[in-house]
Amino acid sequence: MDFFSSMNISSSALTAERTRMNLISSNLANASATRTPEGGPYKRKDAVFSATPLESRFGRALDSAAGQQTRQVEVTEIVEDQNPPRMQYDPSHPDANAQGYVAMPNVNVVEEMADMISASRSYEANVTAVQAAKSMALKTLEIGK
Amino acid sequence: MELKGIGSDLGLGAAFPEVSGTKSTSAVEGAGKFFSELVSKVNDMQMQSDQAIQGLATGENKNLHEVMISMEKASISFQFLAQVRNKAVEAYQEVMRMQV
Repeated sequence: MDFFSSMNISSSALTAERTRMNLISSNLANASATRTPEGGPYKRKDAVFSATPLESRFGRALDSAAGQQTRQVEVTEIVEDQNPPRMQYDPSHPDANAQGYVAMPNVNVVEEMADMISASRSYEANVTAVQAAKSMALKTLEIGK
Repeated sequence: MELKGIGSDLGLGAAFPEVSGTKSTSAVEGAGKFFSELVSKVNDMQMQSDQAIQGLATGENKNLHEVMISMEKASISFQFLAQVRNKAVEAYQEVMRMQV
């Protein structure tokens, strides 16, 4: 049903934004984690979004031209920020090097806050899109009343 | 002078030409089939929504929005079914009100 495909697209966007929000939470939580299982300080993580064709029940051939152009979004990759760790002078820290510097995660808390606002606003926008699709469907049903 | 009745080319016969191919038995069957298919599709939607809620409750599915959207889908398709049913009943009552 074509009415539900816009809802499916919004649903994929909500999943993607949630993944981004999870990564931001992870970055904020580990903003001062100096140890990781892989060794070294925590590295900031970011999601890579990519547009993928909407999978359709009846195959692409039967879709209208406009239907073939719709894309849903998917998180295809999670990349680590390759910037060098922030060096902080703290000789009493157990992870300090010979010069007394500790390698802190390359997470900028202010940047993460800005990303978080962006993620939650995008989420809201997609929820509004779902609601608009729903109210369009209900308005259509009112034709019969 | 020849008088033509309503069965002729000019009367009601012209306004309501005989449509070939629609036999009453197949029409009834078709409507029944259509309704039962519609009901089973809507039921599928409701089942999906139920399963999603169950998945959320048991922790199997962690996406709240997917559950909400599947509930909305179920609700919209049910309202569509109700609307189709109302129309069918309305048509039936309209026919029953007809004077014979």
